[in-house]
Amino acid sequence: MTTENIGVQLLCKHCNDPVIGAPYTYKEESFCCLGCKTVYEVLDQNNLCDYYNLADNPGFSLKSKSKEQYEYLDEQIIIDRLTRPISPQLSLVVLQLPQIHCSSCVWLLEKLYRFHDGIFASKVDFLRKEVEIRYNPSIISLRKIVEILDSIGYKPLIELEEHADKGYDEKLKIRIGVAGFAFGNIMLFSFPEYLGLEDPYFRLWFGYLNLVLSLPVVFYSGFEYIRLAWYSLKYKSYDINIPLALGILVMFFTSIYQVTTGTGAGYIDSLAGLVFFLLIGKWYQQRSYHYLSFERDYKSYFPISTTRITKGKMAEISIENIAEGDELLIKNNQIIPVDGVLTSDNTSIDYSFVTGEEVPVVVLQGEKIFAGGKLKDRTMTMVASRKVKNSYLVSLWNDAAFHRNSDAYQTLTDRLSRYFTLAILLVASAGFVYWYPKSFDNAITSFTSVLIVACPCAIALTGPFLYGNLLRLLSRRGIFLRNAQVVDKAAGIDHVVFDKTGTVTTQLEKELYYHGKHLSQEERSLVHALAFQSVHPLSSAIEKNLRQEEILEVTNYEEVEGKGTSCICRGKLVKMGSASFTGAEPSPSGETRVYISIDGKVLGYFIFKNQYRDGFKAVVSNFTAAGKSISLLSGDNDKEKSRLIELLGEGIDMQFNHDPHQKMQYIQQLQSGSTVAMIGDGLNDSGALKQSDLGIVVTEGTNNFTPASDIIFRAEKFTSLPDFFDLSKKAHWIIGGAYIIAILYNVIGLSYAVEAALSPVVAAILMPLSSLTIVIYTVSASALLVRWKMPKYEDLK
Amino acid sequence: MKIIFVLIALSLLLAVGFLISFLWAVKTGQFKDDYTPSIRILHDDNHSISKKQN
Repeated sequence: MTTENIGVQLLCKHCNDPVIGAPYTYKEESFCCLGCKTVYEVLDQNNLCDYYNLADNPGFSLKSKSKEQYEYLDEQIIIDRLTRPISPQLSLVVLQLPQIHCSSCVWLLEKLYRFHDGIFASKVDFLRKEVEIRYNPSIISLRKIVEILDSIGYKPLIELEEHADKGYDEKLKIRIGVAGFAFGNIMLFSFPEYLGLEDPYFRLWFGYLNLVLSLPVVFYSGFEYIRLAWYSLKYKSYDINIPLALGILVMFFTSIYQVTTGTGAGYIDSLAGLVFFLLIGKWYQQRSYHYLSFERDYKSYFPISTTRITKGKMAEISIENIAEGDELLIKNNQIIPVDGVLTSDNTSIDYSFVTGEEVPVVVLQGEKIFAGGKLKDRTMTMVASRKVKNSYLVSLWNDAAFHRNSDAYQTLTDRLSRYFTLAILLVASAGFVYWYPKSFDNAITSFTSVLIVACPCAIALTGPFLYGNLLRLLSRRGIFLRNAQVVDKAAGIDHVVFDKTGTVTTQLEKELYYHGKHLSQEERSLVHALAFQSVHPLSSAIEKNLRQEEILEVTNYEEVEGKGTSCICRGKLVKMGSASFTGAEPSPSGETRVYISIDGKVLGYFIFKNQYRDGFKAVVSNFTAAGKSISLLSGDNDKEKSRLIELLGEGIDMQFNHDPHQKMQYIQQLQSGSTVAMIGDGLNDSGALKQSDLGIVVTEGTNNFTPASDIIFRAEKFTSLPDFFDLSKKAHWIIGGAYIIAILYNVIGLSYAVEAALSPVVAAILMPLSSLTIVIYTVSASALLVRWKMPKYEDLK
Repeated sequence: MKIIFVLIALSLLLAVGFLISFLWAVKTGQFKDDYTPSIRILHDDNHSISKKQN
């Protein structure tokens, strides 16, 4: 079967997508869908069409977006949790708008006051993808504001859960500020010492002044290192903080001793510099994508509230308050919040988030329904059979396996620092033993000098700057890492598990094949006219495939749930659906078939096949070449197995009919022998994602729901997966190089130190110089590595 | 040379002043969003001045 291509490509005024079929028009502009047209109308009525002139592609497609219900936003409890009242006439609300992506968005969203008099001002935070709105709650309700945003295409992501770590950033900045202040002044007051001025007054005064200035450095800015070192000693998980704290403390106490006895100026400048550089490294590494959440769980997917019917009266209740036996009302496109039993007529439910299968399932009255499904039919009623937290899907999150302590993971730096600490202690003791018989003073000086100069400043800086830079460069390539440790973890992976549906198959399209009698132009128009009537995914797929210039009018349209649709068009009865519905011979195959018949005559059927992502084969063979084992998990039946073997060859462990729990157990089994990365997409594999050593989510857009994971991969970057793993391994080379530089500096420093001849000037030059070299080296080496492994670079927003 | 002690006291005072103003800037959230202003400043508010009609 062939599809005609339309010659002239018309682009939608709003979203710039090509217009397929007859365009929607408004004021001589063309649009691809009703949603895009509506947004344009709203903007036009408010004289805000400059939106389209400010950036190349400001609008985003609104196809397949469903209208949401915002009634729950009238609930006082919800208003209280989302908004902050300042006075009776002024309230403040911060809403997350994941669609913010260009300068036009900022422009439009800061013009919200033009839409309604009750809105005073709005301010966008681009990186957080948030808008802060000041409004008068006595004139405009929160619900109305959200509806305005929705009508112009920005659908707020409303979550009642507070995501933590917003104030942390501020503290770090203050720490850096204090350390920088002290460092600068201490350097200034150390000048007499550097220049060799022997004035005793200067020495005394400046010495004490420096000591005073070092107090906030040790006890505020750098105290975190001492505290963490203490913990790591206590829990015997030796990490990089121990040599750092040792260095800080030795420098501090040596300086106090030297200044108070008048024997020297101490190493206060080096101390302040060390803390300052370390904090800057920490800040550089601490990059967060405020708009991406790596900690999402079912709560952000489930609705906030639902409608309960008590004695015929309806009331909105928070889903946490649903009790067993409550009667609930669910509207079209709403998500079922709790397991229960259907009490109204037969209906269909889309369980794509639970099973990965996007064709809605028909549920009969009295049958069980599960939380996480989306209603794809008229309003239904159900009786809850459990509480939300005991529902099948939710119970996955409460599994004990999920509460593993991920902080216990030791990076390469931490593992190496143990040997480092041991080595410098050995060198220091050797110097002490060598000097002890000759001069006790020199023995002490030698011992402390070694600890000071060998302080692993360079090693401690490598990780933050390397991983921080990788995080930044990869995010521009559509790969978002939860934190720096992830790169290190990825290097150790030897088994990769793919989830089939939605991960290696595209979520958006299915391949469509037609079998049967050749369709004439008229027959195609008739079938198309019928398919156009329904929003069922299979209907829309057929509609897209047969797209006609002109849509015929139909009468007597009927949709029989779970069976098919029919209508009268040009006097002919057109039917589309299951074999029994259209009167065709039922076939035993497991394929998804949609039969068509006109006037009772069966013409043929459409088959739907999953479309695999481009380059899936290459990704798998790259992984195999890199010596990684591969598994494929699926919640579906094994009807695609032969096709997969044909595509990928033998040697891949394929598991079908796995429910979310079995997927998790499968990962658990693998982990007894290997380090496992799980590549998945949705709720149905979130258990496996969390259980695995490295959870990777492949998503069509960062606006989508992304479950808890370590890495979020943009779908168009799917083929870069092997490159990413390769890159994470190569990152160890860079670390190795940095250690060689650090060792070179240490050898120079130590040669002064063991001779007990380390002057403060040498220390003051050597320490910042080594830090600087390391920073420049790691940042440029990591940039080269990324450019080498992933040369393609486009600024993905 | 005694003047140097006065000068040092003054320079420290100045530095403390800067430190305090930095702390104030952090506390009032001036470092919270350092990206959006760069977009906002490029928006010309002159075109499409026509007031909302309703």
